[in-house]
Amino acid sequence: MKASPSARSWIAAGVRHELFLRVLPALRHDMAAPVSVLRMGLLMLKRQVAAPGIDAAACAQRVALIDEQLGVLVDGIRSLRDWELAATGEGIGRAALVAQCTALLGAAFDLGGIAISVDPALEPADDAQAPRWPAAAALRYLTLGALCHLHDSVPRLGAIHIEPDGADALRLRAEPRAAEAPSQALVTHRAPRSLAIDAVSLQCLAEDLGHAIRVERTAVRFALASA
Amino acid sequence: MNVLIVDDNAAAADLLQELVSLEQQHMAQCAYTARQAIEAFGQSPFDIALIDLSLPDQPGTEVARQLRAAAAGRPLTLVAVSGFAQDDPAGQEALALFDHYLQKPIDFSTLDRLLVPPAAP
Repeated sequence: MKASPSARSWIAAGVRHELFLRVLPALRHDMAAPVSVLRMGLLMLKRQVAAPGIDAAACAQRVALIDEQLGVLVDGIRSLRDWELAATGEGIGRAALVAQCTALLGAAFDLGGIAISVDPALEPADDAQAPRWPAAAALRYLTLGALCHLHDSVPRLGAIHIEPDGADALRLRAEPRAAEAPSQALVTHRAPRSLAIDAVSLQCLAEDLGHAIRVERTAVRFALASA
Repeated sequence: MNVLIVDDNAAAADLLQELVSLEQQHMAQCAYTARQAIEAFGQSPFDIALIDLSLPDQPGTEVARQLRAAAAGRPLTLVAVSGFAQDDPAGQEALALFDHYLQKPIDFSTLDRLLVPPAAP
């Protein structure tokens, strides 16, 4: 039986769900950090105000830290909106997109012995004058999808290199693991992953989001502008 | 107990050091990178190391491997501290290397139990 257009959309929705689940630990990690500081800061502040002589300057310093961390937490909560395809924002620059996605998957890949390297031309500092691409959420899913596809499908993967392809596309290239590098971590990390992002799933995602994509054996190239 | 706190989030590390030192009367030292942690471990005999899994220069799991090797059989409790849950892929690898796993935000009563010196034989 051939997959209907509706079925392909369901596949794409499933891929988005899987990608979101894969970055959820990183999102939770980013929000847990300020909560940790807030709790410890409040505990210390309680001690300070309960002391016989209150050190106003030390208390003010503590309050400033709590205020700052509360701001970080609020930003984290707001950023959850970035995952909704319907959200209309001001778009995203190519370098910022790459920086966000590598930050989200970097720690998990790193613990699995897989490095993510980014071409110097994609440094965020160079992004200020660069074009901003609409549908940032779609591009976020697509970039994560490409990273996870290479992660799941390339045997003996050592690194993924991300580079610009012309002015309006990204290319991700898998690099093999060095022969002497240990592979135990890789096995540990990848073993529980039964639902791989294969080439068909990635194609479905790109089509559903309206972006042209080319999936090769060890590389993925996709356009930042929707078709 | 001598406690080594390894976390690149300086605010979190410093506060935990204050709490552990002031409230629980332990000796605590902070390291903000993997390299600093390994250097500090070479200079002082720590009983327990609380290691964040996500460090800028090396993964926390690698720090755990190196500290365990440097301890050379001396008793050392390694505790992974992370925003990742234990059942996340990152957490699963840590389980094999650490004695305990604390998820951020840290549960202080669990930490208290870990900071009890072992009874003398």
